[in-house]
Formats: sequence, structure tokens, C-alpha cells
Amino acid sequence: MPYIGTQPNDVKKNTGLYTPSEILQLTKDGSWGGSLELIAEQTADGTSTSLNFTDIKENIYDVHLLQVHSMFTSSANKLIRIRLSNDGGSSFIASGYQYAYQIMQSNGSFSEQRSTSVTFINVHTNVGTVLLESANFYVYFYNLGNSSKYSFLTHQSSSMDNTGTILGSTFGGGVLPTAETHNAIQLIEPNLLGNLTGTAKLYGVKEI
Amino acid sequence: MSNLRLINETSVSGSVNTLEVPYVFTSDFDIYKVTIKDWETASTTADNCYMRFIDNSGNIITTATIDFAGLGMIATTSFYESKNTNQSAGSIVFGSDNPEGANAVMYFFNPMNTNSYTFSMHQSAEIKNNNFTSIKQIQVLKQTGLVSGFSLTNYVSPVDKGTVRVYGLRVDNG
Repeated sequence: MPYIGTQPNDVKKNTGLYTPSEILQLTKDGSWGGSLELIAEQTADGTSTSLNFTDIKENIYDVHLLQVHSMFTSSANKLIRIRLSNDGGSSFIASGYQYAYQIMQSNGSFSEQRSTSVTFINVHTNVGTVLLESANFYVYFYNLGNSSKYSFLTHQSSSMDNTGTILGSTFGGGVLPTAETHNAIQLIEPNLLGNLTGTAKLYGVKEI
Repeated sequence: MSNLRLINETSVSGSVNTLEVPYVFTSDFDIYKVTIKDWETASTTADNCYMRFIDNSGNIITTATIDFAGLGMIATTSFYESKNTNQSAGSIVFGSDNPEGANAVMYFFNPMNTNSYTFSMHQSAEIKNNNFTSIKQIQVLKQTGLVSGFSLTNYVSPVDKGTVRVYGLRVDNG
């Protein structure tokens, strides 16, 4: 195969050119292409208190990654929470969640947050009403499409509050302890007081 | 195309105390991402899972050179700190039981760099003894030898489920 220049490190040493049979074999091995596969990207434009992912390919991926950046609300010091659906997003479950996470604040206190009966899962600290006071976080979901397993998540965040003076971070996780398929994800300001602005991307983490 | 490359998928087979994932770290990558899913005990007896490193000959490293520090976050009670130095048994990555098990994302740094210790960090979510728990933890193997992989061990209660996937974070050479 011809040499076409400096090559990136890769699973299989190569010069950058593959034969059809090599592509088939790498695809079979799960090594062809990237392993973080974009399922959907959504932008909240400030007209709704929620942002829904309703085609999450839960039958293909058992680990999902949700990345949210530069998201804020139209009302000050709100939280954008996570809810799941078992009917494809026609409705979202609003009870029975559990979570445990740590809060760290640059100009405030550290604290433990826990609950065994909440209507959503928190994944970040308060945000403001402009881009400079937004939330950035990621969430890993596990087993959303497995009807015999609970749906778990872990998260980490970095956010700025409405005063622009408190940088907050969270890390921890949550669970919806119901063994059923969860096939839609919602970002929501559940008090319905703050419309969302920002971008969210949902990825599937590839498996063989 | 993302720069995350699936390298290996290993699943628990039968009822075992240890799952070894050797020969997955190479000089191709400096940083590796690992997902662990459904680490579940065979019986209802809960147990903690410990992570140890595997050398370039495929042997689990048992010298007392592992330091770790973490925070256990439990939905039902106060959080706890977990820390120690110079451990040979590894560091706890999560606890689990049956039927829900544990899930986690881990990262490994510089396992094949002989000028560096091998560092790792992880975050988990699990149900153990009916309590939801998430563990955030860092670990280091204070050796500069080549590390080709890692192992997961339940010392008391064997596991019969669990899937581990290893990904490399690709670096372009320019």
C-alpha cells in the first residue's frame, strides 16, 4: 500500500489505505471508525423548558454519553434536571428517582446531596440567565435499553451561578430503580419557570 | 469519526472472582477509556470490586504500590472518604450485588510510558445492599514498568456477569 504521510496512532498499524476485506474485518472487530457515535444533537432556543431526545437507539447501545454545554435558563438560578421515559417520550417519568452527588463551589460550601425519592435527577449547580452563567456537564447512562435492569447514570459538571461569582461543580450519580426499557431522555427545568438555551449532544459508546 | 477507538471487549464467563483484561494497553495510546457494565455477583451476597494492574507479561501486579483516594456517595446516608497508600490488593472501584450490579467509566493514563507512573480514575453507579452508591476515585501504581492491562476482583463473592470495554483515545501525530 502506498505511503501517504505521517499516520495517527491506531488500533491497527496502517498507512492509511485499507482494502475492502480489511475494512470488513475491522468493522467486525469493532475497530473501524470512531467509537463515540453521535446519535443526535439538539439546540434549545429559549422557547421551551425542556429538551427531549426521543430516538436514543437504546437497542443498539448499552452505554450512552450526553454532553451538554453552554446551557442556561430564562429564569435565574435554576437547575436543568434529567428525566427518562418508558414510552418513547410521549411522557416522562416524574417519580421514584434516587441520586447521590457531591457539590463543590468556588465561593460557597461543599455539600452532600442525596435522596431516595425524587422526581428527577440533578446533574449540576445553579445557572444564570446568560451564556456567561451557563452549565456544562456530561452524563453517562447505563442499561437504558435493558428491560431487566435499572437505568443508572453518572455525571460531572461545571457551572456558573446567576451572580457570576459562584463556580459550581457536581459529580455523582443516580438511578431509576425500575427494571424496564427507558427509551427517551429529557432535560427539563421542572418548575417550568425557565426556558432552556444551549446545546446537547447524545452519543452511543460503541460495542462489538 | 471520533477519536475514541474500541480495542477490546471482555465479558465474565461462568462464576469467577477475577476478570483479567491483559494486553490491551500498547504504545499506540497514552490514555485509555474503559466502560464496565453490569458487574454483578452470582449470589445475593454483596461485595466490593478491587482493581489491580497487569504487567507486560500478563501477570497481576501484587506489590504494595497502589495509592488511592475517593469519595463514596450513598443515596441513603452520609458520604464516606476512601483512601490508602501502598496497597497490594488494589483499590475499590465499586460495590455490587445481585441482581442490579455496578457500572463505571474509568480512565488510565500512561500505562506504557516507562518514565511515568500509571494513573487511573473512575466514576461508578451501582446498587449494593439496596442502596444506590456512586464512587469517584483516583488511583496510581507507583511503578514505572510497562502496564498492559488491569484486573477486577471480588475477593469474597464471585461474579457471573460483567462486560468490560477498552477504548484508546487516539492522538494524531500532526
